[in-house]
Amino acid sequence: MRFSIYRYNPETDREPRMQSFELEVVPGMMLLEGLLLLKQADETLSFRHSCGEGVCGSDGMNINGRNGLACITPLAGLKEPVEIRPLPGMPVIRDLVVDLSQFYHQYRSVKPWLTVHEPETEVEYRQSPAERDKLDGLYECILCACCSTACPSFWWNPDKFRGPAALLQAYRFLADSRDQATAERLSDLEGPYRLFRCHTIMNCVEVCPKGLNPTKAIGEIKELMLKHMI
Amino acid sequence: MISRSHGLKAWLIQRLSAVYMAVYLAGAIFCLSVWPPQNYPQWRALVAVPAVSVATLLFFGMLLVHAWVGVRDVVMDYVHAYALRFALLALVAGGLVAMGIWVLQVITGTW
Repeated sequence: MRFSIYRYNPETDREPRMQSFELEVVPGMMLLEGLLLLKQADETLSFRHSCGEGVCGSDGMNINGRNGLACITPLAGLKEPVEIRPLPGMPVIRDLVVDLSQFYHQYRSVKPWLTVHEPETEVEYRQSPAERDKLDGLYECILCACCSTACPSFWWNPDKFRGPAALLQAYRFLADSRDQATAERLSDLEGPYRLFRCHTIMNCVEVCPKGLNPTKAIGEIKELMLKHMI
Repeated sequence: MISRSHGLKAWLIQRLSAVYMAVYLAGAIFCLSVWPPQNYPQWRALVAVPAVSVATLLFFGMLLVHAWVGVRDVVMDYVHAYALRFALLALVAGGLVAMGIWVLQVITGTW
């Protein structure tokens, strides 16, 4: 199978280039396994990976023009030459490794933890099954950055727009019956940039390897904001 | 120029104006296909009906506001240099206001 892989070392290369590779693949092989074999042949090829089963979110990359996780992308069915590039719009550290500082900064900004104003109780915080169900489709995010780096609004304003991943998490805590900071969270997201740069392009939904729907969560936040305004 | 409170308001205005325009256009298409004006005097008479002129004026008002929010969004996305952004938004605002005055003159018959 033929591969064309983005290579760039900002310390030594003047500009990025695409390098061709050939690999004998076996049926059922995932892209990450292919990359690891290619790395045996050329040890300078750099990419992140860890769990190898779509849980850690380390190996997000652009595969034939679409963001995805290398470890759960079967090689069979990929058009040749398989074009592998880093996640779009992020500064490249080396080859397929990108600097996700901006992405994590936006994630941190939505305060992704439960906030309780009342004095802490001595028993556990109770949640009914129906209240717990509201978190389904939100808590499963693995922060692989596939969605945010596929979002044109995030490409143009990564410093101001929170991005789909952070907004999905913002709604995850807004929807949580135990959280008491709804008003502060909504007020923090008000303004033309943080939430409202989303133009419902839905690239995020298209690429999410966990099948989540950030666009729907963003719509829910807007609705919640409207209810609070009225 | 673009204050922090203009996120939800702009979004809401865009949606409400879209709903009004959809309703107006559906009504206009229905009325014009059932009672099509045959000549210029009939068109004038139709527009002279207060309900029609008010609804039409409101339609164009909504159209201009809708266009303003949309273009403002595009400019905010792509134009990051503040001087250029201000110039572009001023140009768009001027153009939309001019079109608004023109519509007002045509519909109220003061043209």
